[in-house]
Amino acid sequence: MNLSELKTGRKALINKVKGTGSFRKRIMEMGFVEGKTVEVIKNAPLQDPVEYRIMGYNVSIRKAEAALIEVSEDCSTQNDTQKDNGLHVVEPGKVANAQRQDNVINVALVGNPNSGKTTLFNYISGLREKVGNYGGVTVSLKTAEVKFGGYTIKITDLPGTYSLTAYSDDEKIVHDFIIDQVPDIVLNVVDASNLERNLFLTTQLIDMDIKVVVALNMYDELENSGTKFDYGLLSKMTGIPFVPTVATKKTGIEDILARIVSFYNGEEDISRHIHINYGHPVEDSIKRIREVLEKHTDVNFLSTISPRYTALKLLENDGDFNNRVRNLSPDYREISSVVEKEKGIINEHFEDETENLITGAKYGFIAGALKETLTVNDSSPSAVRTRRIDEFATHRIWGIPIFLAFMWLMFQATFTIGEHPMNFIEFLIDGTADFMAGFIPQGMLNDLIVDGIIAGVGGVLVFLPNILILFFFISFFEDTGYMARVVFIVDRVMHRIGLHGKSFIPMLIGFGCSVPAIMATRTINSKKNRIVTMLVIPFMSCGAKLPVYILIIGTFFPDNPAMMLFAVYTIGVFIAMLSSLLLKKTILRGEDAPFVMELPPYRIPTLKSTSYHMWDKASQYLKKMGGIILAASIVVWALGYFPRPADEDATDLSVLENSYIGRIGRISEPVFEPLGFDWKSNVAIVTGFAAKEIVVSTLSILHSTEEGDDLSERLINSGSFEHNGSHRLKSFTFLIFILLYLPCIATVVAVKNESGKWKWAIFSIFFTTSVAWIVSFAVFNIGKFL
Amino acid sequence: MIQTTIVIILVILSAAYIAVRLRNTAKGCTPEKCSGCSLYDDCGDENKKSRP
Ligand SMILES: Nc1nc2c(ncn2[C@@H]2O[C@H](COP(=O)(O)OP(=O)(O)OP(=O)(O)O)[C@@H](O)[C@H]2O)c(=O)[nH]1
Ligand SMILES: [Mg+2]
Repeated sequence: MNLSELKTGRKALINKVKGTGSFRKRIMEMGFVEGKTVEVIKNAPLQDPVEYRIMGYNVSIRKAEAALIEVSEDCSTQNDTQKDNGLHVVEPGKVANAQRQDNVINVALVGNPNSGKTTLFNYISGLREKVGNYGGVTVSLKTAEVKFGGYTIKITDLPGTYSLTAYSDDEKIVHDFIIDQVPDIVLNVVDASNLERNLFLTTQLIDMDIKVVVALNMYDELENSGTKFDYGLLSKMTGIPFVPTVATKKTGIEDILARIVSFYNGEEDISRHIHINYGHPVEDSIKRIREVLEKHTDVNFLSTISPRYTALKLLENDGDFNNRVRNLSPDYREISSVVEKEKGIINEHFEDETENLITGAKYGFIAGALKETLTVNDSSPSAVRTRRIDEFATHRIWGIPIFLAFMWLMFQATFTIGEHPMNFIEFLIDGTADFMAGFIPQGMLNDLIVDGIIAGVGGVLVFLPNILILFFFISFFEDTGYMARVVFIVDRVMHRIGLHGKSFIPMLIGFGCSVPAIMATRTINSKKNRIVTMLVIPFMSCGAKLPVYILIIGTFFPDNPAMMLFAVYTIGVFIAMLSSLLLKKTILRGEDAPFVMELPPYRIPTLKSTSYHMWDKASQYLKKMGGIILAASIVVWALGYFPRPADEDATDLSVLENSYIGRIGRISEPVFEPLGFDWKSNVAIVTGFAAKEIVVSTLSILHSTEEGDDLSERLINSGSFEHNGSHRLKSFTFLIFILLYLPCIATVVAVKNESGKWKWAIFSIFFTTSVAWIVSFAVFNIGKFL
Repeated sequence: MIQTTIVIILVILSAAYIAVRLRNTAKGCTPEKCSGCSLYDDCGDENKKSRP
């Protein structure tokens, strides 16, 4: 039978993974190898994907892919039956990278996704890189220098990866870094609560013959679960220093640094190099390929990458290695013919592909190594807690309503809790304005400060509390592990529109800011899906649009603001989905990528990390206020202030209408006329390209001469949004336009950088703006008749 | 008169600041290089910072 036929709650043994190419390889690397036990936990609310438990961790796979995994439900032995193939020291230590003479140690953090690399890195470097409880948080590399024991340690945080075979762009970064930069020491961060799968990557590092120090991170979770682990023995067996760490509590870090230094100096007693024995006839093949490689290949290439590893990679059909050897060796043909011959021998012997044999052998090695050192307790408190929470969070019926309720709560809180501190900030700003107005003598400078700077910056500053509340919720999603559940719940819907459940992570990050969201698409392995996701991310309302929403909704829809806010966000998501459907059906038609995603155990974010996070966001917001928003406010004010009229008695309104900005507004009128916007709104829309908050600044400055106590009253009195006696239609159309129209310049650049082409960046500008115009036009004209 | 001069200087400085920021952003000086500021692009040279 196959895995998709297995009933919920049942366990089975894996016989074989069918299918081809990268899916098969990846799933095997994640532990779906012969003889392992897999348990069906549950189906997602929309039936697909399905959550499984294997090797002590939870993973979700679509049914279509589970159908490729052959299992047998053998109730007598519900334990893993994979045989271990023992440890064999084939050759004593020859570590590839040459000992450097200086005092700089290059260290690379390599490990599975979500193993705590960034948490460790942050503590060592003193930086505050983003951390979250799901795989794929880090998507680029980041280097920092620290001084330790007379050495400069140059430590690099990398994206997480399950193996050194790269399927997506973030994994390629890791692979290329290790091969091209040749770090002196690889600090392999291993999730100690999930050793078996995490050590797979370690076995690949062993194959590479590089210096490895293992950080047994999350050691607290291992201890709490009651699992016993003799890492000293494993250390002796493998010749690799294993150091327990708890990155969140900062324990074991000094130890790690000390071990790195002593290992670098060759002072580690246990250090010894081992090889994993792949048995007959694989070892013979490796030997023969090594011989031909050593005979032909450029010597430099082999001095940084171990020939044994190269031979293995060639046997495994690794495209990247094939290319490297082809480019470096003039005698590629001879090498490749030897490789093909050896593959033939192996296939004939085992009737299976070499890459699967190698993966299987690695897991055999791990099973052997852990048999003697690890006693697992699978009903750990953390696993039990996760199961309990998931009984609700991913419940068949309640899963989706709970998600929607969370979203609703987020907007409700953003509005209602935000209101009080907002009033207070408003009060402070009004006080400052009154004081300044009286303090500085009447004149141009006074006008600039009161009508320009205070109106412009203050107009946006009041929304700081709302922004923080929104970010609090987003970071709650990210830090607890709920994010991965959301993906699990919505994958079916995403699949329908031609995308991948994983695309939903960048989309949710987009609620914060589009730029990191666009970078987060690196984890998507299909190039076309990645571009589609990038193109629709701007439709997700970023935090910078929130001030516009709160201003407009608070002013014109005061009866049920949270519901209205929820509606605007939902319209954004809906348009994003429709657009991706459209793009996938037209210009970006393409293959469907398999869905494999780990569901991490729930973790409780610490108060400290949450408050740090909030503080970071607040300081960034203030920085932005003091930078681009301030400058833009001054310029917008000046454009509306000059040229000064010859006539001293000219009204404020006529001055404004004849100012430079008034002229710009009027030039753009034909474009926005059909949507019902007046020229002040047009100008606000145009200035929003630099940053979306500037829309509010501009509205605030342009309406600063109207009657009224605050901006809301001024907006109402100005009649800018009035249509047939009501403000609702025009203001709603305005909201929709702001929601959908062109992304800010930072986002456009991010699209260019990530897609590698200006073409997509420019396309993004036109696409979003056309969609915005068409939808707003429809809303306004249909609304007229309602 | 003094007021006018100050205002003109401020406006010129602001316009220059915006121009530089937009240029930097367009050159790819995005949060990539300082992910701490993932929300609001500002490219400080924080990479060199080390632990005290
Ligand atoms: N209990 C416990 N949790 C930890 C420890 N180290 C990290 N975490 C948590 O594990 C989660 C993942 O941490 P990250 O540092 O983002 O992991 P990462 O390896 O950088 O993840 P990617 O960048 O996605 O590959 C976060 O929720 C951390 O708070 C630890 O030692 N113990
Ligand atoms: Mg990370």
